[in-house]
Amino acid sequence: MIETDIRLLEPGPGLCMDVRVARVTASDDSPDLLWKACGALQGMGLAAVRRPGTSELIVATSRTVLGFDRSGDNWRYDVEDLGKGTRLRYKRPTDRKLLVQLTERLLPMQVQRRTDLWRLGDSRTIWYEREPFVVKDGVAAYRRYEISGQSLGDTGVGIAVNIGTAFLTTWTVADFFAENVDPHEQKRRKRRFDSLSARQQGQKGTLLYDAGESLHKCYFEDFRHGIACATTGAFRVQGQDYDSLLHYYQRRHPEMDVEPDDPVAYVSFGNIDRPQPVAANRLRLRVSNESLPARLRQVDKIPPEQRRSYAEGFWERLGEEPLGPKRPRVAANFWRPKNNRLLWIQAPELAFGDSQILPAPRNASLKERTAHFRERSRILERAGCFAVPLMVTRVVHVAVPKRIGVATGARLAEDLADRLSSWTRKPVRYELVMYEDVADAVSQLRAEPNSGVVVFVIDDSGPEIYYDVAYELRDWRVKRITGDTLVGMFSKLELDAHDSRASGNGKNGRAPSCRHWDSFVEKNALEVLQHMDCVPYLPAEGLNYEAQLAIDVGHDRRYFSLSLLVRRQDSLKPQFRLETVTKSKPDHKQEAINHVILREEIVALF
Amino acid sequence: MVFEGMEPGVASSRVAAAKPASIPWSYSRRNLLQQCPLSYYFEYYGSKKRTAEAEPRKERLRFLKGLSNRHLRTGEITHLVIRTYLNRLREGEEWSLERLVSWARDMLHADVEFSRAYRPDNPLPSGPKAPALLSEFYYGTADAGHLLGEMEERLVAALTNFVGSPRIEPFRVGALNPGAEVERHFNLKQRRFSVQGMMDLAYPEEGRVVVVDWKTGGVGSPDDVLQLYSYGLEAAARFGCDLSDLALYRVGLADDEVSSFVIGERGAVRAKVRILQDLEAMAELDHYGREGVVAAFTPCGQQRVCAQCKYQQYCPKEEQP
Repeated sequence: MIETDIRLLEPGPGLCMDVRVARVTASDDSPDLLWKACGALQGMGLAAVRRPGTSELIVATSRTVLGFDRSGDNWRYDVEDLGKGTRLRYKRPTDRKLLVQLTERLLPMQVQRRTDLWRLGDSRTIWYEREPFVVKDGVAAYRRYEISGQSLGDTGVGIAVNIGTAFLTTWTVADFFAENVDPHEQKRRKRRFDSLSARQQGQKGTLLYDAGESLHKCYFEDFRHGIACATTGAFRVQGQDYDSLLHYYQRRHPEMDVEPDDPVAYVSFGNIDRPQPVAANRLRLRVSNESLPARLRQVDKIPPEQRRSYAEGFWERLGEEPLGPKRPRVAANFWRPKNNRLLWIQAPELAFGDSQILPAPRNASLKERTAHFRERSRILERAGCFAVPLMVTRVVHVAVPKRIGVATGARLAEDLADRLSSWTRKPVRYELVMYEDVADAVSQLRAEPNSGVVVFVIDDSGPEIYYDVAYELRDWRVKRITGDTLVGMFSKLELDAHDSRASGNGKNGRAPSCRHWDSFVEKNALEVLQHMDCVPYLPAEGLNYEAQLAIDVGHDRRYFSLSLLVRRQDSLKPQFRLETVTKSKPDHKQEAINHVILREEIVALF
Repeated sequence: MVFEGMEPGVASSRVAAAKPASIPWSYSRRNLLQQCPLSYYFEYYGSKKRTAEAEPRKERLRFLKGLSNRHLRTGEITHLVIRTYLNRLREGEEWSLERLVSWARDMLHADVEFSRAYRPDNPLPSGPKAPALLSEFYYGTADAGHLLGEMEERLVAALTNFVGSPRIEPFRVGALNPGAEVERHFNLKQRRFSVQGMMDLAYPEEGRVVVVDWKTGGVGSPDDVLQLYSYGLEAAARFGCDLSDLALYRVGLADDEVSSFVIGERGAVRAKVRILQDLEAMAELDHYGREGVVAAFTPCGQQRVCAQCKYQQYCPKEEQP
C-alpha cells in the first residue's frame, strides 16, 4: 500500500456541485476575454470556468449571477446570468473536467482568505510561506505549495498539494547595483548578480516585483545608473500619462511609499511589449537551482515524511471546509490507491560480459536498490562489458588546458584508460594533449591522422565555448568536462593523499584513490565507453516492448532529444541498440515539439 | 520491417546533422524565426516564387509580404532621412531640422492616407517613393490612427535629437570622416557561415573603428547585442582591424540614449556560436519550407506579436490556457 499526496473530494464518485450558467457577450471572439470575465468573477468571490466551445461560463454558485460589464482599450464584454441553475455530476464524464477546474479555482480562494500564504499575481495555484525556512549566503529558501486537481477515473476528484522550494535573494536589485560603494565592491556585486541570475548562461534573470498589493514575475533588462524614480521622464501606462515613475507610484500605489531618489531598473513583463521602469528596491532575484550557493543545494530535497507533514499542515490551515462553506469536503487522509492500481517499475536482471548476470533487486526497498546499483560497478569491473566492437578504438585523447597542469591531466587520463581497459578487456591507452586555448587544442587534434574519442577538459564553462568545441570537432566523439570540476576533484584526491601520508598509508609518491575521485572517473569513463560504441550491460531478458522511446525538451526549449532503446529476443537482430539524437527546436516559445518535425525524427530513428 | 537494417550496439549521441552554411544569416531573418516560425515560413518560403511551389495561398502571401507596420515604417523613414542628411552633409549641404521633419512627416502622412483609402484587391504601388500599406489599417486595428500618431511623435523626437543632441553630435561629425561608410549593405563570408546586413554608419577614428547602429526609439536591452556584434565582425574584416579596436555604439534616437559595447574575443566567439545555432535551426526547417510543409512551422500564439504581423490573416488563433 502506498500513500499519495492527493486528497479526494467527498463523496468520491458521487460528487455533485450546483452551478449557474452565464453568457459572455464580447467585442470579439478571442478566448482571452472569456478568461478575463472568469477573473472578474473570481474578484467577486465566484469561481468560474469557461464551458468549452461556447461563450458561456460555469459559475460555482447556486444564486443568480449579477450581470456586469468591463471594458478597456479595444475590448469590452458583458456578463449576464442565463437564468438557469444546473448540477454538475462526477458520474457524467462530460462534467468531470469542469468539476476539476472549478475545484482548482475554489481552493485558492480559500487559501487567500484563511492563510497568510502569498502568491504571484499570474499564478493562482502556487503559494509560498511568508517567512523563509532557511537563509544562507544571501539567499532565502521558501516552502512552496503547488495545487493541482485531477480526475481519478472511477474514484472521483483528487487535489494534489506538491511541496517544493523557491529561492529568492535577500538583497534587492538596488542593493546589487548600489552606487554608494567602492568600485571594487560594485564589480563584486554585479558578478554576484550575474551568477545568481545565470545571466552568463544566457538567462535574463527572473525577478519578483513587489507592487504593493500584489507580487509579479518579471525579467531583468537593465539597471541605469544615475536614474531615480523622480527622473525617469514621462511615460504612459494603460492610457494614462505620468510625469515620472515617482508620479506613477504616487497616483497608482500611494501605499508603496516610494522615494524620489529610489533607483530604477528596467524590466519586462509577459504582457507588455516594452521594458518598463520600476523601483529597483522592489525587485528581488529568483535564484534557480543551478545557481544556488553550495550550502543550499540540498535543501530542496525533501524526504517523504517531511513532505507529508508539510502537506498535512497545509490542509489543517484550511479547516474542515477547504473549498468554502457548503462546498464538498475533502477526505481526512491522503489517498491510497488499491494494489490493483499500482505498477512497480522494477530494475531488470542485467547481463554483463563473460555471461555474468546481476539479478534484479529482490524488493523495492532503498537498501536493496542501492546495493543493486553498487553491484553493477563491481560486476563490470570483474566481468567486463557485454559487447565490445571488434575494431574498438584503442586510444583515448585527453585534452587539458596547460593552466591545469600535466600532473592533473595525466592522472585523469591514466585512470580513465585503466578503467576502460579493464571494462573492454582490451589495452586502451591515452594521448595527453596539453593546450593553451581552444583553437590550439582543435589544431592539435585535427593534426591527428584519424579522429576518435576525446575527453575535452574545457577551461571555461561558458555555453558558447562548449558549443564551439562540439562544432569544431564534429568528426570526433567528444566527452566534455569543465576545468573547475576536474581541479575540484583532483584537490579532494590530493587532500586525501595528504591525510593518508600523514597516517603512513601513502606509497610510491602517487596519490591513492578516494571515493569522490573514483566516482568521478567512473562516471566519465562510462560515458566514454558509450562513445566507443561499447555495451557495458543490458537487460538479460526481453522487456515488455521490443523498443522504448524517450522524448525530452531542454530547459530553454531550444533543443529536444529522442532516445530509442531496442532490446529484443536473443534470436532476433538487432538484439540490442541504444540511440540518442538531439535536434534544434526552432519554436522555443512552445513547450510542445512540432508534430510534423517530431514524426519525421522518430521515423528517422528507425 | 521496423528494425530492418538497424545496427546493433550503442550509437554515439549525435546533435543536429544539418548543413547550416548554405543559408546566409541576417539579424532580421533570425529575429523573425525567434518571434514566430509560421511568420518565418510565410516570409522566406510561402511568399517566394521558387520555394513552396505547391503553396495554394502564394499570390496572397506575396501581396501580404508587401505590407508594413508602424514600427517598421518609422524605422525605414528614420534611416532614409538620416542617410540623406549625412550624404548631403558630406557634399557640403546641411539640411535643416524643419526640412527633415517635414519630409519624414509627409512620408508617414502619405502612408496613412494611402492605407486609409486602400480598397481590397487593389495592387500595391511600387517604386522608391511609393507609400506603404500599413497593416494597422489593413487589418482594421481599432485605434490605428492614434497608434500612428504616437509613432509620428517618436519619429519627430528621433530626428530632433539626431540633429540637435550633444550626445549624438560625435557620430554626426564622425560621418564626415573621408573613410566613413553610411548605410552600406554587406555580405560577410566566414569559414563556417556568411552574414548579410546593413551597417548604419562606420568610420575610422584615432586608431579605432567606430560602428553605429541607429534605433528609432531607445537603445533597448544591453543583452541584445547580436546585431551589433555581427556588424562588428564585418567592420573588423572591412577595415582590417582587430576586434579590440572596435567601438560599437547603439544610439536610441527618440530617447536620446547612447550605449557603447566592446566586442572582444569572447564576444566574437559568442556571436559566432549564436549565429551557428541560428543557422542550425534554419537548416532544420529548410526542407520543410522548400516543400511547403507549413505545419512544420509552429505559430507563436502570442497576441502582441500577432497584432503586428502582416500575415495575421493566415494565422490560426491560439487559445490561452
